[in-house]
Amino acid sequence: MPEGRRSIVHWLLKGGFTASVASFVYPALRFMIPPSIPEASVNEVAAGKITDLKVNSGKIVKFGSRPALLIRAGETEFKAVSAVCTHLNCTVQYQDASHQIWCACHNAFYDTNGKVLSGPPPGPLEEFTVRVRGDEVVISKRA
Amino acid sequence: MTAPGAKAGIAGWLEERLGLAAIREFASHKIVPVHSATIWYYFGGITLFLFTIQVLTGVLLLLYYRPSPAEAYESVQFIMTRVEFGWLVRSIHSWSANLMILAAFIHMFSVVFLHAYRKPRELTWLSGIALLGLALAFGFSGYLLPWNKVSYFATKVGTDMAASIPVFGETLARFLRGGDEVGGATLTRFFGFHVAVLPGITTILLVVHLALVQKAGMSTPPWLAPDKVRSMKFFPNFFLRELMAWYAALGVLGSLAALFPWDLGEKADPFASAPVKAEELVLLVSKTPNKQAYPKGRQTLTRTSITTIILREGNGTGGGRIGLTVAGALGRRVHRNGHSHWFRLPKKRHRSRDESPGLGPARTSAVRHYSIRKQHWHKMNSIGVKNACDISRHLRYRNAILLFGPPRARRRRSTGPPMPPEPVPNCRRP
Repeated sequence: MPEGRRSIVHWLLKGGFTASVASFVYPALRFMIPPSIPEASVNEVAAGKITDLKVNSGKIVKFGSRPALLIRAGETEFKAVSAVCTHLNCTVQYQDASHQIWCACHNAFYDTNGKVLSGPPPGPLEEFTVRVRGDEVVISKRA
Repeated sequence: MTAPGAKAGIAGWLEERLGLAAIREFASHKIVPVHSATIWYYFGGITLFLFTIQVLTGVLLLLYYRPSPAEAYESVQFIMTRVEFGWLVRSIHSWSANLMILAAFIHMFSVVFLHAYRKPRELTWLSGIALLGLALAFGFSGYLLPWNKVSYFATKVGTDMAASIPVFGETLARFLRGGDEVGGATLTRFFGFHVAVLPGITTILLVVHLALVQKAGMSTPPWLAPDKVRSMKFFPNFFLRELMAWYAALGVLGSLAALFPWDLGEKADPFASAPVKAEELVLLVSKTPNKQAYPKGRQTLTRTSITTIILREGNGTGGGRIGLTVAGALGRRVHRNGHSHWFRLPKKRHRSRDESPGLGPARTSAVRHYSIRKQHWHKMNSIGVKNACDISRHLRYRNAILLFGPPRARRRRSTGPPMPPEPVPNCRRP
């Protein structure tokens, strides 16, 4: 190892070099972080007309940036749950034969209230409130 | 069991598997000649360094870029406005493209003027020329990707020029455009060329080029006595100097990118008129030689203009143009009779007869420029090409003509010397 003044010069060179390399790497790392796109948080969406949905059927509607499942169980009975399976994020669907919600990815079943009946999901689907305004169905988050 | 004398630990483990000693042995024998032109040996490395920068920043841009007409412009806009340091990364990519072309041209002209292309380095030279072509293709394809007005029309013009090539021009243009018109298909195609096809070919050629350089070693200019040329070790002496050159290049690049961020312009609209500032087009047309004035000299001149046109198209054109100008200036500075001396003007300046003390300064300059042009024109056309030396002399005069322009009729002053006779292209093998 060099001694005295020479070692100071060495440290300055090494330190300067390291600092400059850090200044090149830092912007590159920051660049790779995806910028957050602020999305207005959605609490309520219009899910369409009553007449669009037959009895004992379901449809996927856009709820903010995620899908929701709207089910017409009876003539005036509507239910809505989050359509994102709590297991591994697949989008679920309504099975009219069994009157249950089914996730195709790993064969999971929920009832129309989002409660797990069978399969791997660790928890129930989030339930939404459904109201009918005139002939329009409105889904909203539960407070 | 380890062989006797083998090192222990990680170094020894790696040594047994990789045989690094052989590489170290090879590196220890590699030398770099030291003479007045040694500085030009750095430019190949600088080109390589800037290429590395292009790869790195290119990969970063790929994270956000979307190659479709509907999204391309918006995604670049997103990179520049929303992504942190996005403006810097894109700016570095654009500036580095230009500087890389510039460095490649300096590298090429240094090889020409130092006569490094001769036997046994012909393949190195040819692979280098191919790499230069690839670099220009990179520039041309990358220029379209932001999908702005200027790049859209540059691609229209560029592919239209390709269409004017005899026999297969139309097919080539269709292949480049991915259809009959420049549009979404062209963008997807150019994106594919830019990020997959060209990098692949370039990497292979680059390996070949560098391997050939290692095989033949560094060239010493032929006018230097081989036993009198000093040399330095490549590793670490030249290598560390090269690193410093890279650091300087990075400094220049960073400053340019930060102080003069690259513009994005307006989004391309296929149904809008071409922008007023048609970038290279005005220059190009104005520089196209007047065929009527020089019917016989046309051949040589047209060849020059084609080179110029190619350099003016696409991204990296600024670099190409500067490179050409620098090269022309260097070529001019090469000693006119006998050996080359870099950056050393001849001790006895050439004094033209026209340069009489009675003329004013402006007038003198005009006359002298005219006489230089005339001189070069004559010399270029009087050289019979017999060997590489003649070709280089020919090129040198052609560069000078490129720099000063050919003698033109409108330059003739009433008191100036008469026009040179009709030049006859004479660059043929006897």
